Amino acid sequence: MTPRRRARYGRLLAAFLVNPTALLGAGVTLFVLVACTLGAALMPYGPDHADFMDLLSPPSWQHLFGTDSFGRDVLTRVLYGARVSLVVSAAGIAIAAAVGTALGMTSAYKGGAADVVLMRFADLLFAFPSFVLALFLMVVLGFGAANVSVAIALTYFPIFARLARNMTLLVREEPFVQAARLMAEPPLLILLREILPNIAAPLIVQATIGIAFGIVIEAGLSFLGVGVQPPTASLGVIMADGREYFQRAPWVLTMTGVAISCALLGLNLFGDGLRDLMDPRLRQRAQQ
Amino acid sequence: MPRSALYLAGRLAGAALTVLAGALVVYFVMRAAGGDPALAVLGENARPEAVAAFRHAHHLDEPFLAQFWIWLSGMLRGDFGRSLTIAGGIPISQLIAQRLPITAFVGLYAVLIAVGISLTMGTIAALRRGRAADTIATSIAVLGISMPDFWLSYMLVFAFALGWHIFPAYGFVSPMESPIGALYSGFLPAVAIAAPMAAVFSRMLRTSLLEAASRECVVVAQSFGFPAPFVFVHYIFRNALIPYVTIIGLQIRYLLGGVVVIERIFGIQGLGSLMVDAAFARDYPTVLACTIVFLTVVLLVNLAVDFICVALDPRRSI
Amino acid sequence: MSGPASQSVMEVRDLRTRFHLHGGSIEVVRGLDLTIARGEMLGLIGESGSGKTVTGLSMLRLLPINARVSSAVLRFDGIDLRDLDDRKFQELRGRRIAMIFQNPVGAFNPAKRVEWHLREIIRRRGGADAAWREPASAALQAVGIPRPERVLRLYPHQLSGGMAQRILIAMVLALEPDLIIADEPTTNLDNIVERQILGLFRRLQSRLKAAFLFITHDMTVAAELCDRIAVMYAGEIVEIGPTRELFAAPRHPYTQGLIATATSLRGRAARLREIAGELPNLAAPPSGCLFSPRCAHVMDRCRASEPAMFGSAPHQTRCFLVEGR
Repeated sequence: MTPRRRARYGRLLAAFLVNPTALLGAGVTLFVLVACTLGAALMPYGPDHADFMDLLSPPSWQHLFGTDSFGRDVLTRVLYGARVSLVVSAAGIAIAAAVGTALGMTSAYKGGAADVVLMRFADLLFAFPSFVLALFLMVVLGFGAANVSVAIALTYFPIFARLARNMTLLVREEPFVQAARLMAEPPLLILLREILPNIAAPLIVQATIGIAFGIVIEAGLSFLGVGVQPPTASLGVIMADGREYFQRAPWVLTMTGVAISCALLGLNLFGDGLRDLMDPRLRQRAQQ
Repeated sequence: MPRSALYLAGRLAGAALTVLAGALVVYFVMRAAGGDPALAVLGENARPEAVAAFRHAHHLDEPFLAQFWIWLSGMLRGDFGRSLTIAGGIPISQLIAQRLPITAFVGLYAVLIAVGISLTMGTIAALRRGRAADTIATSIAVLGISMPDFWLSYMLVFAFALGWHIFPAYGFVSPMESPIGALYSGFLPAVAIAAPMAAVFSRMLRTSLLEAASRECVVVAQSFGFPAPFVFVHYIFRNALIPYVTIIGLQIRYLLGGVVVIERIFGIQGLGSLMVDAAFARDYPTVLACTIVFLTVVLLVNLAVDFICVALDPRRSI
Repeated sequence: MSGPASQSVMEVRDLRTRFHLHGGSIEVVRGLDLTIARGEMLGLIGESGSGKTVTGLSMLRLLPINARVSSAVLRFDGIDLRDLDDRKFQELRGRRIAMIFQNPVGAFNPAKRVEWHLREIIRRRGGADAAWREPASAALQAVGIPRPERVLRLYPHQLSGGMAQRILIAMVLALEPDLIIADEPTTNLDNIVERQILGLFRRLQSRLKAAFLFITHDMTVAAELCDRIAVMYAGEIVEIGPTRELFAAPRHPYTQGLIATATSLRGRAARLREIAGELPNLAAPPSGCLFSPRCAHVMDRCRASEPAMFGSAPHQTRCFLVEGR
């Protein structure tokens, strides 16, 4: 990493630390991550440990979120479920980001017919309402966690493709890219070493927001029953469960939703904060 | 104005092409990965003769391109074929014709609520910028975006239906039967769908109001001695409308997503719950048709919003 | 100050405008004194950053919320402006004091046609709602727009800079104010159009009773139009006097430099004569006379204390060189 780049990241970190939105978002996100990894492991109960003596009991000191119809501790289930939801969503977004960025960058760099075709295809995908498209894909691919990731990936791929393409078009004209071209650097290296680091920022912002979006989609699909399938429990599955006996024991569904909201809040704030930081930088660079 | 009629025709044609392309893509995807409809409907252990008969009746034994053409020409005529499983044999177009108005009603209801809330909250936040009301409104907005709408609908049901018996928790009266009944039974679902959208709209309105307020023409208007409310309505609000309306158009995709799940929760007999039922029943033609109809709705709404934006912006004369 | 029937339409003493920013605050206008007589055209000249635009906005209370304006005297036509609440001040604006802005096209409401603007102006003046077309067309013709009906239907983005500025001038004139603050009205226009607008000002000047505060950075423009000229530097007036006298015998080194530059530009001299140095940093101003770092005739006492206005009215100079003369 060149000293200039190091200095730039240093300034970015400093700006980050004084931005309340970004800090709060990072804090909440970190809390959620720690909770569903370490926290889950530290829980006294296992997620499937059924206590038939204590079915559908309301929140108490032994069971902070109460128990469900099998006597399982809801908080533990929620923590493990959050892990599943996060993994499914993050996997989907990772695929969308990787494929979308790769195709978008290449398409912008090469230009021509391939560019037009790719963008038309991305626009077409994007024209479908997201959840409807995801639902359609679940029907086609079959239900299950892995396919939920694929559905999220396909739904979000156009956003990355378009963003990567537009940013690459901007950066392509910059002097250091022209210099690399003149030095006959192979296009792949140019894309990876020169262009990618300079477009990474908005992509990361989109990824953060995308994971939040993916969690909502996963939860919705699983809630309907077409997403993650029991016995694997994601947040949506637990909510579907809680729906069965919502009138008798509303805490299952409610607390699961609170957990989802926490994760979403953290990710949204974090993404917003990142975007605030990136914005003036981008505008500055566009003027240079 | 023949020029704008031409523009309208052009945009409609573009939308139609997109629907066509989208239909092609989903059709191919469905056929490629979908598995055998015959086995899905009749079950894995169906007798070979029954399977063969089924396949013949649904043209599944003909060459792929022939099947495609049959389907496509049917679709262009408005005939989506017949439902395979959930409503055995009923033409899908009939199902859609029954259900689409209901989804449209709920969707429109939600948009109106979202617009109403955001006009209030966004304006207050911008007028009282930096003060308590602004922070509160912005925080509510951030929370609104961070809640899954189906969870919110349960919270609303909990509060307003189970707790205080103001609204019904389930069931939906079609607007065709009773407009008042529809407004009443549709209130909670519409609010649930509207909440995250209202949050997004409020933030956008606040931002675009503040942006419009910082333009030089506002200072000039003040220098003429125009009263503050006048300046706000004509110089600030009027010019903030375009980004605001634009984002309403952009959010339609997510609104329709919300409709699907909410319909299931509240038992609304709309297009969304049709699609979910069909998904479970492996009724591929119905799922296909629903997807295409949703796509068409989104495109038409986007077109309408775009026209409103053009009408609002004198710089974009058609 | 004269008796009850005061001759001056605007009287300003010790005007100070301070902007409060994140780090601290900057005083952009630092004790400005001005008197504008009825019907006179006073030029206010300065470089960008000298605070001249802020001066105009301060008089009209049109500054953003982080600005604080204070003054010993701020009197318009006998009315103490500091006593007015925002509502009363808004009534004053336009009808009694109006402003012509620098960026003509950006001054319009982009969503509305020209006719909407004129109709609202006429309504502001108190004209009957129904009969706005006549006065509107007349106003446009008075500023040299031959076919007003066509122009009225246009949207602001369809106007050229010159046309837009004419319409804005027409709007301000239609309000019939007693004082017009013209802030660099021709700066953003190209030369030919500039000449036309200046010609318009000249023609209007004789017909109108309004006083003008003509803010500009262009010496020659001020020389053509103004009765008196005030030279502004770093937030204060450094020289003020009747135009002819000021140009014939400028006393402040800054004024001399400005005139020399303008002359060298005009006469296409071989080398452009510039005043060396830059405006002082108002966040951390130098001690003594603010111009001292750039002054060719600087003396020790210039750095020690700020000079007051010396010389006898009407031609006064803020410079120790003039003291006692």
